[in-house]
Amino acid sequence: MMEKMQSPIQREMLIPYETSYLKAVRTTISEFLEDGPFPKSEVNLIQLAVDEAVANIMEHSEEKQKPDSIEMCLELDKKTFKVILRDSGRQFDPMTVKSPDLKEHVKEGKKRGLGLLLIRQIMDEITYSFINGVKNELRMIKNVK
Amino acid sequence: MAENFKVGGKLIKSDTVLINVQGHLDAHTFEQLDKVINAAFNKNIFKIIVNMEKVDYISSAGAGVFIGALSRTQENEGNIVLLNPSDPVTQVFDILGLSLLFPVAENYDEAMQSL
Repeated sequence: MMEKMQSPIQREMLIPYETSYLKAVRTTISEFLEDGPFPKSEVNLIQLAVDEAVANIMEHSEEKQKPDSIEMCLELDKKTFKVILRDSGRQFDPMTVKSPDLKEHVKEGKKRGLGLLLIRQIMDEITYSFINGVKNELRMIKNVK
Repeated sequence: MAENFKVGGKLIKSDTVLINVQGHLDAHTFEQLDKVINAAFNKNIFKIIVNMEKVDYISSAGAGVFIGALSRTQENEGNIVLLNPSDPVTQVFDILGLSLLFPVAENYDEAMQSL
């Protein structure tokens, strides 16, 4: 499969702001990466990172966004997997959020806030931009080792 | 592979509940597990065994339920034990650094001894 991969493979998906769609997101990632350059264990982790990012967007969304969708663009070539997530929510750069202190987190019984920690552990590059003053854009890259 | 999420708890001793979880434990389904654990707490039950053998997927939302419950169980002389965690569960708990915090058991007797 790797030898045959001449040009990047791309796929797009529009995700409604409903957590019930997270499973479909994961399935899309899994199918997109199947037979690609990443072993199954890494595909599972990539699936998790994308799930966390999309769930984060959903969690911080406002009611007025709900009629829209989250745009997910996937690209795969022999060396990298790229995912771009765009949403029309309020400007929010997740890269400015500090990774939590796990001991404090557990001590205080905090249930949420660990998604970014997972994303940072799994993905190799994460960049954020606010496009044209209207859209958040999160790009994540995983390199083939 | 379990397609649908299922969670249910049953009293196995007067002070111990066994919770069976099956399927994908994510941001859509985690509240169902949270509800079952809180129901145990409301009955003053703080010894909890969670059978994770059939959990095919877990995200931070799922792991967060356990974090939220841990202090409460231990403050009340109980604990929350992971029974036969599946590979996805072990992987996520390892990445998050949670594996050392929760007792893990391979079988029911071992789980009971951990409480």
